[in-house]
Amino acid sequence: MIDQQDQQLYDEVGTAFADVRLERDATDVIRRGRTLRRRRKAVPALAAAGVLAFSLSLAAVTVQTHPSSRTTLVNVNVDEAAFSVHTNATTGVMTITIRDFHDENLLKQTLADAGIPAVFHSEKVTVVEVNGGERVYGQCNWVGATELTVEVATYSFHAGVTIFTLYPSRMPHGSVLAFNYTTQSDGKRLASAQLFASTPTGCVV
Amino acid sequence: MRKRDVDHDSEEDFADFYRTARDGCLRAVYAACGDRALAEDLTGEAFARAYASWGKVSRHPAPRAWVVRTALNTHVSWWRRRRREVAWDEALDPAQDAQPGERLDAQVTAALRALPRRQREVVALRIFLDLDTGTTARALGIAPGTVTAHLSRATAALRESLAPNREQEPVS
Repeated sequence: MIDQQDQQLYDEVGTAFADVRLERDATDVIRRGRTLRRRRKAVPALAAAGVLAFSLSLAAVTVQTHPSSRTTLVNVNVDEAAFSVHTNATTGVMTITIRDFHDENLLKQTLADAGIPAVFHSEKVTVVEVNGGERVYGQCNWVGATELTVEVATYSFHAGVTIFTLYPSRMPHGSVLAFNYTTQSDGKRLASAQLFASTPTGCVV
Repeated sequence: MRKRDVDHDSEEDFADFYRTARDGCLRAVYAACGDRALAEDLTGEAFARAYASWGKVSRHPAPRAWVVRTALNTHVSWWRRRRREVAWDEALDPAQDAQPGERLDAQVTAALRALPRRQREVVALRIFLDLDTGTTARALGIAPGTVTAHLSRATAALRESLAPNREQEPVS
C-alpha cells in the first residue's frame, strides 16, 4: 500500500523525467528487430582459435546433381588444417567445419566446387566496455545485395571448433553465402554467415 | 512469401505497443542506469528484441517490464555503431547527457544515483511503469518481500535527499 506522502514523492521524481522521450521511430526499432530475427535463424557462431598449421590435404570430390535443388550441387569431401567440408551423399546436407581463419580463399574455392557461391571478409574490431555496455568499433556490414531470411544452415560449437550444417537445396538460385571472420581486440574470434540474393559488392565499416 | 498478413498485423500491434510504452520504459531505464545516452541505446535494443520475440512478449503479463528488464540486462553496441560518426568519448561527456529541451532536476537525479542499483531499479519500475509489488518482483527476479524492503528503503532515502527541496516550496 502506497500512502499519499510516498505517492507525492514518486510524482515529484516522475515529473523530473517528464521531458525524457524516446524519439527513435518505430520503423527503426522494427528494422533492428527483423535483423535480430534473421540472425537467430541464420548462422552466427564462435569460431576456433589456435590450431597448429600443418596442412593435411585430403580432397576427394564426387560429382552428383541434386534434382531437388535449383543450383547444381556437387558432393565435396575436403579436409584442410583450417577447415573441412563434407557432403552427405544421401541427404545432400553439407557440413562445414571451421577450425581457424586462414585459407579462406581455399574454402571459397571448395564451396564453389560444391556449387555454393560464397564471399568472405576478415575484419578486426575493437570492443570497448562502457558503463556496463559493450561498444564495437570497426565491424562491417555487407552492401550491394539484399539479405534473405531463408534458413539455410544451423551451427554448433564444440571444443573450439565451429560446425555449420548447411542445406544447399534450400538456397535460392543465385543466392550467395557471405562469411565474416571477425577477430576482436581481446583475441576472441567470431564467425558468422548471412545469405544474400546476389553477390554483395563489399563489406563496409 | 511467408505469413505476410500475420507479420503485418503483429508489426502494427508492436508499433502500437512501442508508441505507448517507449517513453515510460526509457525513463525507467534512465532512472535505473543514470546515463541518458546509454539508456536510449539499451531501451532501443530491448524494444527491438521485443519485436524479434513479439509472439512471446505480447503474451507476457507485463510487456513493458519485460522491455525494461531486458534493457537493464543488455550489453548493447548496435545503436552506437549506427552513430559511429560520433566519437565515443564525446558521447560519454556528461554535459551532452541530456537532450535539447530536456532539463532534469539535478537534485532528483543525484538522489536517484545515490541509491543502490537494486533500489533504483525497484523505484524506476514503481514510478515509471506503475508496477505493483508482485509484477516488479517477477520482472526483477526477486522475492516480493525484497521488493517491499527495497522500495521502503529507497523511499526513505529519496525523502531525505529531497526534503530540503520540498521545504523551499511555498505552502498553500
